[in-house]
Amino acid sequence: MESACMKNDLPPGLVSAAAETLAIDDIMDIATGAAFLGAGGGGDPYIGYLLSKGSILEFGAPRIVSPDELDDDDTVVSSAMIGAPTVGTEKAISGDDAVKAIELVEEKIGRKVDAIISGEIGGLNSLLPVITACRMGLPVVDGDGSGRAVPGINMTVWYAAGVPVGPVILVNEHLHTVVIEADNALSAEKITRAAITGMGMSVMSALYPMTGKQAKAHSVSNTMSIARNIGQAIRIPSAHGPVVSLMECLRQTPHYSKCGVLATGKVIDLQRNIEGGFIVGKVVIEDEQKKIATLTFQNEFLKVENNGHLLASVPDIISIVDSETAVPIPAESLRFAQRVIVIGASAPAQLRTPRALENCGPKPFGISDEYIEIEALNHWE
Amino acid sequence: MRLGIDVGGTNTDAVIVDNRNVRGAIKRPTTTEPGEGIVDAVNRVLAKANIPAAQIKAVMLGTTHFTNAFVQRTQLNPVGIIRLALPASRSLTPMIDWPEDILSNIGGAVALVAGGHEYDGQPIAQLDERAIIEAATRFYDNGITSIAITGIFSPVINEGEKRAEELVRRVIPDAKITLSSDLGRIGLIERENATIMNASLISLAESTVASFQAALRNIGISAPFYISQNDGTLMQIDRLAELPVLTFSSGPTNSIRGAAFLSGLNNAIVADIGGTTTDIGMLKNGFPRESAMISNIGGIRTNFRMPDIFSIGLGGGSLVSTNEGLAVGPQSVGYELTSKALVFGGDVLTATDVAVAGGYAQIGDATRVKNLDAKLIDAAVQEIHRLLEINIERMKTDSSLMPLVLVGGGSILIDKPLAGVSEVVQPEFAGAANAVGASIAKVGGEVDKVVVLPAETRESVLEALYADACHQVEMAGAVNSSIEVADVEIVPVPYIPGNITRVRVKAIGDLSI
Repeated sequence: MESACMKNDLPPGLVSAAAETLAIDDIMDIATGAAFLGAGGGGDPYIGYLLSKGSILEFGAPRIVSPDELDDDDTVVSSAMIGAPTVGTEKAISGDDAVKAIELVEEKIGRKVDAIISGEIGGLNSLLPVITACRMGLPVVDGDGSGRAVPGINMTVWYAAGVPVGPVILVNEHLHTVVIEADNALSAEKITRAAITGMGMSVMSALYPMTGKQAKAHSVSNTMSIARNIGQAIRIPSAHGPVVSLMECLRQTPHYSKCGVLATGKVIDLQRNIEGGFIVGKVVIEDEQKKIATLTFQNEFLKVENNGHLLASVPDIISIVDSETAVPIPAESLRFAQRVIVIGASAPAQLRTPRALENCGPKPFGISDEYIEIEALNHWE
Repeated sequence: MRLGIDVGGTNTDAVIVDNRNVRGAIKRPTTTEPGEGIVDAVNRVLAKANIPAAQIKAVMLGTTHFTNAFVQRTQLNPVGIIRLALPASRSLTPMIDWPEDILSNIGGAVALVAGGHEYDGQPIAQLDERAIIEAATRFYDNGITSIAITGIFSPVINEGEKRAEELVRRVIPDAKITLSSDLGRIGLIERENATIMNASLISLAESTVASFQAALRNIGISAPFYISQNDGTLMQIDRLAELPVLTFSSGPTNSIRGAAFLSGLNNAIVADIGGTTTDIGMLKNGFPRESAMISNIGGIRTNFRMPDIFSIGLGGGSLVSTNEGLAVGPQSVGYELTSKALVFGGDVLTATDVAVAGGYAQIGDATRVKNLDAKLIDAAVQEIHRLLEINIERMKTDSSLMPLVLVGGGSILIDKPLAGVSEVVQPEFAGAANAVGASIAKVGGEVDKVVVLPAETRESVLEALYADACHQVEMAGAVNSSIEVADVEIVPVPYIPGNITRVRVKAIGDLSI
């Protein structure tokens, strides 16, 4: 089978495929691609894969629609798991919780929801909308609200574009519910974190109810398809190997085309601590010429430096992949002596606006460096 | 005096080890009924070392029997699966990603019932006892008596699984029940998979244990009998009848541990050079370094502890070709080495021929390779060493020099100093490293919990977990003074305020023999 990335005629898309419904084969690829776009965080998409596979087998596959197919007055809402990924590896959602969150949004805003969209294409939340959509018979929009994984609900491109985050609905497996109405996303984020502690540390949410017009104008487009294509590029054997296929695939996307290998080598130091509920730490990679690359992370990778020289920082995507297989490795799974490649790619344009950078640029993560685009730092075309 | 046995797919090895000395080693073919091969090998090794059976104080056995049975889908039980979880995880179907061929072997009898716990040990919901009894009745009516029970967060608290076991036993008094909490580790799907795999192997485990025990009785050995697990520690033979999956992948672990014992080193690189491949592993504080990769056995995702092994296509039978520049391997004549290699009268140039022509290996008929092009031989010798060198380099975490222990029949290929290696050690009895590794294994205990670790009480909380793990080791039969904490992994749980941390503690100790 040939990767859709290798075709130059069309922007690669699930919607341009013959069948407009999502195939089970695609889900595993989306999970792999979402692990890459998760930039080291976002939770294990494998659970998302298992959940979506089960939902498709039980309820039938959802239709995938391009943002362009949405009517301006459609209602679109994001469906996402919020909580601790570690808890998510034990305690999966019931499914009814995801549905109830959407139904409560409908009640709250007085409109029926027409389509579900992912809040973040990175990690576990890339596939959770599929589960919700299967159960409700709704389509899934081929796009998302971040173009990567982000650690807070206030870090989306929607928020940067002025789309209100709320009402935010949180539902746990007992169908216990919290409704959050706040006039800004940072407050909503803080209330959410406090609420989930009392709800079992893993909840389904509905957030960012918006019009079709807003979803079209502001979402990062085609990211489900792109995640699928990234997954295929990694999985399908090619003459040049999976790392080269992965880069070729990224170059053909509108969002991640400025990309390259930032470091190659093996993990020689690894530190992980907790600060404010996040895994914070650094990983050091040494190559054969003894050159050192240092990555810092807060769930996701925040920046890469080479002997003190900055190579990339958030919101640009920094991912670590296995040097042989190009399979992405989350920050919490890294081990000493793993042989890895660090890949950097441009963030979608919507995440690089001044307003977006206020929430997801280097500053809010306590990195003093001003944001400089990855292509400028590395003198890429 | 200890007796170490390794029952592999092809050969059964037996060794006798006395303190730090190997007193004898024997390699015999493995038999369909594994006990027969054991009797054969053990009788021969006792005779060879001239040691009466009564002097054997402990027997340690490693085997790939259960891994092979599962991978080949032979002799598997149908399994009844109970998950204590609802209302959580309703949408996560058990075995949803298992290959079809195995599902047809062990069936898909599943019951999701209310129960399970939160990360902090609070119940998710009250255990639905009626649903468990109904499920057990349904399983029994369908002829299923092997049951796998998995509760959410049962590594934190397993009272739900224990109660479910009691209830199932009321309906099926002779049920064979596997509890996921006995297989440890957080990660519901991987733990549940391991639990189901274990339940599917229960009948085979019982008959195999009986076969092993009968073999030792026949020989006249009545010493305590232990089985090696995948983390390099031992369990008592009765536990094998209950937890056969714990033997998965114990082979490479024993090989690395055996190499450590035979060389007297605790930190080293170990290369096991066979006929076709070389397996490179790292010995760290006497144990193999564990792999970070998710392990996949027979197409099923599990969380078994596996040693970090890197395999390359270099062995005694590797083909030496000059078609497109010089290449050694990865193709190999394999087990046909003794008929196809030049030094054995064949017509294929192999790595073994190169080592003989290079003047440093004594095997076969050296006159058959004396006319080979000296330049080619020199280049091939360089290439063999280069292949090992670059792949050793891949496995090392730092640039300091480390000793290399060579085991396996192909170790004759190596003669020259290697970059990054302080010394090359080729111990005696290296061919039986697996059985030696089994014979010297320690007993271990592990605790894996999610706990609150505030700075003030951090030390006391950790101390309590260490004590817990050490207590398990003591219960497993270790000498008290030898018990130590071998490994601690502290991983903070993200997004949760209040220093919630997952702590895994492994303790080990020497058997009292």
